[in-house]
Amino acid sequence: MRNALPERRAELGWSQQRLADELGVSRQTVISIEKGRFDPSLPVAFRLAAVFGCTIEDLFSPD
Amino acid sequence: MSQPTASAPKSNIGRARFGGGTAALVIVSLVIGLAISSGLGALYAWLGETGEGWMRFAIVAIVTLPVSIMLPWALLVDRSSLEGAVDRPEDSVEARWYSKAAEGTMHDVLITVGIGAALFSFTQLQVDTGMLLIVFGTLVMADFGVRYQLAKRADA
Repeated sequence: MRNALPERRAELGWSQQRLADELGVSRQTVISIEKGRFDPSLPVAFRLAAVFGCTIEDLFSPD
Repeated sequence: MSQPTASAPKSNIGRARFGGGTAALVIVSLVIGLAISSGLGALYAWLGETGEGWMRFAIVAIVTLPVSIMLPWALLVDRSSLEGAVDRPEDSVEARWYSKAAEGTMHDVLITVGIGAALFSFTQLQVDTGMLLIVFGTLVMADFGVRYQLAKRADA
């Protein structure tokens, strides 16, 4: 699954650790999601959308 | 947009979930741990038939002490006071590595027990049960460790 996390995070000037703290997950989780190697759970996807102020579809798209 | 909230200072040991600080958590964990280890040592000394009783007590008490102390600590620590502990570990990628490793290990255990049972039945092989369980348990833990590292390498 492709995602726009790195771009969205860069727009806010957040580090991966900052985003991980906001989501309540480990930094490694953010790294794996951004690399497309880990599909987040639905609750995490909703939290990501809330954090970036967009919809889940804006963040994730199928390959 | 949410901002990180100010929170109480965190540490590697953490604070007690029953309201006490780090010192209370350490003291309670030590006391419970000593009680558990002493109990296990006394049980082993009482059940044993060979060797000095006090020596059997001391060895088992000392060997089990670290785990006996960590067990109450793990049950009593307030996770939110631990440095590096995330709020939602179940949503983290580490939980998936754990699940994948546990799943693979369970399949390995099923296969190994099945083959082992057949082998022992056919050959009528007799081995020390305690030693067999120690070796098998060690292999299961090693298997889990390797599988966890492989899952981590695949996702990292």
